Amino acid sequence: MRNYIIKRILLLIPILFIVALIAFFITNLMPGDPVRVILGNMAAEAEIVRVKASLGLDQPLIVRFFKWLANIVRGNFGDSLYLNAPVSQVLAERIRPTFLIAVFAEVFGITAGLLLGILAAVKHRKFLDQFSITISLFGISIPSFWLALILMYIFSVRLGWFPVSGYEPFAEAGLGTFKYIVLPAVTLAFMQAGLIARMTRSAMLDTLKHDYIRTAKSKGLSTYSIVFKHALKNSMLPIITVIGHNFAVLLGGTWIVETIFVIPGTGFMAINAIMRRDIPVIQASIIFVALIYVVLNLLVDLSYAFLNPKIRYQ
Amino acid sequence: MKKKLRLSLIVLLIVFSLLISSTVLAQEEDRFGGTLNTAFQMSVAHLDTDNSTDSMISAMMNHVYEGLFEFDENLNLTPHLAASYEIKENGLVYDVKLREDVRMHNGELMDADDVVASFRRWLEINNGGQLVAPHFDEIEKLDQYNIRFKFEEVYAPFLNILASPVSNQKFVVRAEEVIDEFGTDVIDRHVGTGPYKYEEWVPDQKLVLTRFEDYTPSPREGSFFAGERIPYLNKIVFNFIPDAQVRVSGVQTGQFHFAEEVPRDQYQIFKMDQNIKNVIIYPDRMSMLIFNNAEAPFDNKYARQAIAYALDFEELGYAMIGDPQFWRLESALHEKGNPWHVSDAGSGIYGVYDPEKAKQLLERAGYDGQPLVILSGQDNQMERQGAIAIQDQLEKIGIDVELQLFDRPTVVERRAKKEGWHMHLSPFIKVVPDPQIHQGWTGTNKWITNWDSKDSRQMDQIFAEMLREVDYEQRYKIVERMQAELWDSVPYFNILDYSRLHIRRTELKNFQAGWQPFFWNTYLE
Repeated sequence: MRNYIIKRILLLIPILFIVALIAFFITNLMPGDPVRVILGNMAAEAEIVRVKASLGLDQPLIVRFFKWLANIVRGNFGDSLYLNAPVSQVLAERIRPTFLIAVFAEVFGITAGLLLGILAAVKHRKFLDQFSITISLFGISIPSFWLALILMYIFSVRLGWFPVSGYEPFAEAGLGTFKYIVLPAVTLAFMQAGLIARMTRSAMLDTLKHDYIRTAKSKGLSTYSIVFKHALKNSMLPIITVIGHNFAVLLGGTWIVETIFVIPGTGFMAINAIMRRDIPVIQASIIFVALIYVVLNLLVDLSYAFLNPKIRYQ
Repeated sequence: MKKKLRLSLIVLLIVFSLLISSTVLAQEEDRFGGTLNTAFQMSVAHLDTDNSTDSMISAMMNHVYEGLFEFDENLNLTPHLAASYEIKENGLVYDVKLREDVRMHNGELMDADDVVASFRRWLEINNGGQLVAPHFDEIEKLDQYNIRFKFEEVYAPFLNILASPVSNQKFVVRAEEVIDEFGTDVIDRHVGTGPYKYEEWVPDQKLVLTRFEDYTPSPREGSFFAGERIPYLNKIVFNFIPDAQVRVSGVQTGQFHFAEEVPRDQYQIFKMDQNIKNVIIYPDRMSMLIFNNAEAPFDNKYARQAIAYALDFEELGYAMIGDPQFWRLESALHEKGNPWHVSDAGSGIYGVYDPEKAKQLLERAGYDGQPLVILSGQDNQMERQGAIAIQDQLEKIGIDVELQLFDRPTVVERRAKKEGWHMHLSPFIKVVPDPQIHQGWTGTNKWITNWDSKDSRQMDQIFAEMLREVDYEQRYKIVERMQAELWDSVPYFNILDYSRLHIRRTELKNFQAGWQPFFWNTYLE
């Protein structure tokens, strides 16, 4: 097992190198000049040349690539062209609200998804099953930007329960932080819940057909015990896979939701960076998302062994 | 008896006057306080106006920094940090006396050293300063509150450029210690003289300004950017909210008191909301069609004229803006009311929809039927819908048009190239206080026009004359010639003037719709 983990971790290095390679060349070859964005529409050509030189953007691409690679190995992603600060510092500041929203969305999503999925499986082909399927279908199909605006209209504009936008860190606002993250987290949780509900329902239906469930019923065990202690536990493997893989998708979803609710997280940062061609920030964002994906995949794979003793990696 | 009555009347009058004045004072006192929350569309890279032409920076920092001169509501140039000025030696020397009581945010009194240091930096790196620099000789400190600007040759637009709101050209006074510390680098410690002080800047999120308690207002009557500024508000927060609907929702819920640029199609909804007031600013923007004068067929002026005849401007107004209360046809570069407005600019060509004439002119220009590329932005309604409508109208007269819509950074990069595009639609700020400012994008190889011909050199000559002419009447005649030449050569033209829609809460009082939003003299009820 230990060797397997080490092997998997070592495999991350070439994967991340390829990601870095792609990130560097895509961002440098994409159209749009960051210096012209910084200096504004009417900037003089001489001024553009001066600023390009001061940012090192006048050097050949290959020279810049090796310099950049040498720096990121040491954890230095360079300085943001726009925010006047090191990218690693900006990333570290922006990661907190993103994780807060993602974790809350995950908790909401898992809770709602599991409940809906279990309900649908237990009440198979009855009203609650149809209800659950419909809700989960909505969750998967509704675009997050649309749902975000609808939730904002209902809960902020009409009811006035939450602010329409903004964010205050926990250190400053304490529990007041949560009023800013409820709507973004619920927006993200909706899709997550839909996926988990569908996977839970199908896995549970499969498990509930097994002989040992029939045996449990004939032994007179309570429905609660059959559903939660036997059926759910044995259905968890595919559900965990969905949860793990979709946590990364959820982090990607924060790009849109953070932009709408103006949450200063990594998503908002990345979208802004793309809009103004803040190349070091875009590169760091791509590598960051890729890192999250590969680490989560690794954790999901490792969790199989933990959840199912039959799986042996040696 | 009469004496007693008179005495009683006088006493009553005094009591009454005292009552009224105390009520007025109390009302005045009541206006102070509160935090104003505003929602703006775009964030900025930094807050140093000299280091960028992004006028969103000056929209905010106008509250922190002030100019030697500022414009009032009618675009009259008014001394602001300057107390008075004198033009000598036929326009070669400007002597400026500074106000002596102006306190800066660091507690010091503003003096000639601050002005000289700020001016030298402005001259070196600011877009406006770079226009002035080739003609400028030196700035001299005469004494603590008197300075002299000396020119090598007459430069007529000097004072107007010092106060220009275009592309952050305005010269503002910063503390000398800050200039010493930062030089030409981007300043991130802000010490000005304005009614509000810099407090906090969270990139991409907000800029917070607080009232400067020791602010010394100008003794002149307040009018837009000129004269008395009263900082009623304790705090102004500029929030950056990219999504228009979120800005709208924020004003609807009262989270924001002001929102910049909201969808014009929601005008009626806001009109019915008792808590919201629509703000339509005029003059605001021009919808400018710029030709790539280096690329055939537009290296020929007849082809450029043909496009003006081929387009139905009124139909374009409905397509690119919509509701006619937000746009108007205007051929002149300066709006009505501006001292440089030329009422008959473009007569005979502007707004004359004549497709047949357009075809004849294209033939005369030797147009070979090659596809014409319209390069335009896709994020802005005017640019996107305008480009689509222009494509549609040109195709009706048989011109093959290729539409290229991109995001802003890509458009900015592509239009800077000499090839690959033929026409570009771009929003221009309408308020241009001096005709010389147009020289920045009009003339031989100016801005992105790639205009280099006999006509462009003739235009250079016109601007050279304009530069030296200090008499208004004579200068106005040159401006008329400039407009006539512009509509004959047509290196670019204005399709129409349009306004963006801003909204504010009704509790925000005394708000005036200036060409850049400002919040001194406003208060919260």
